[in-house]
Amino acid sequence: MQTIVTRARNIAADRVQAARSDLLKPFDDTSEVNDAKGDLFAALVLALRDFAAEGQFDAMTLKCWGDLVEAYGIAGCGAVSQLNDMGLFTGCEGDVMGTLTMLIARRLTGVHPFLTDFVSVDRESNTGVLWHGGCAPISLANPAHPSICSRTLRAARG
Amino acid sequence: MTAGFALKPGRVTVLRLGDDGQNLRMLATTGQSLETEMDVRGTLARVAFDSNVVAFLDEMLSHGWEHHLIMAYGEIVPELELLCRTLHVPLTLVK
Repeated sequence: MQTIVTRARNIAADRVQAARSDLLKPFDDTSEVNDAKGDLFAALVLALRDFAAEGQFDAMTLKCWGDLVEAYGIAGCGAVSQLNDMGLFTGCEGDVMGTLTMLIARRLTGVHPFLTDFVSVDRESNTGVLWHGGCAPISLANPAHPSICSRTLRAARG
Repeated sequence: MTAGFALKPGRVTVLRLGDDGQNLRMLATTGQSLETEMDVRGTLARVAFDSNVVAFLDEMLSHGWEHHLIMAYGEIVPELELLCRTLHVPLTLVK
């Protein structure tokens, strides 16, 4: 974790700023993202992408929940979302086997999958909600509804 | 930083390669990702299960499956059956 944080902090400012606008472009609403947080976000994506390229990794997983926020100041979900959209398989919360399952699913379907929790069940409609904290690739978004890139999961969206 | 949106509708396979403490194993079921809105922050899909959703949840909880699942667009059960047979990984298919 410290390796990635150090790498992110050492990414050149011009690379970070150029990447920030590209990374935020797919979202309909980025009003919560100030320049400082946007730079942290972009630097993290670049650091992870560089790290994977140097190691020739097809996939990786990030110990994002807790550790990253404390060490770096932002959650990793948005970076995971972006890296998956770039075709670099990136799993959440250090889940190696979940990340391997993503690889299998992608190879069999040709579509990048969604690593998720199973958070609720409705017996009457026989439905369940699959939710995870902002890590799905935006290529899976329903274009009929707005997408948001936000600083936190805490507030309800009005 | 987090992304927030509702995932697109479509046929899905929900799967998980896990282990029972000794050996690999695969869990799968199918369903339909429904048109839905982002009523909580984060990324989410509302899925109508082909199987009984409570039976699927019971399988996960009763047999110690890991809590992360993979939602894949498309129906890939025959391919998973072939893959698991080839790799000698038992497949638990909840129908």
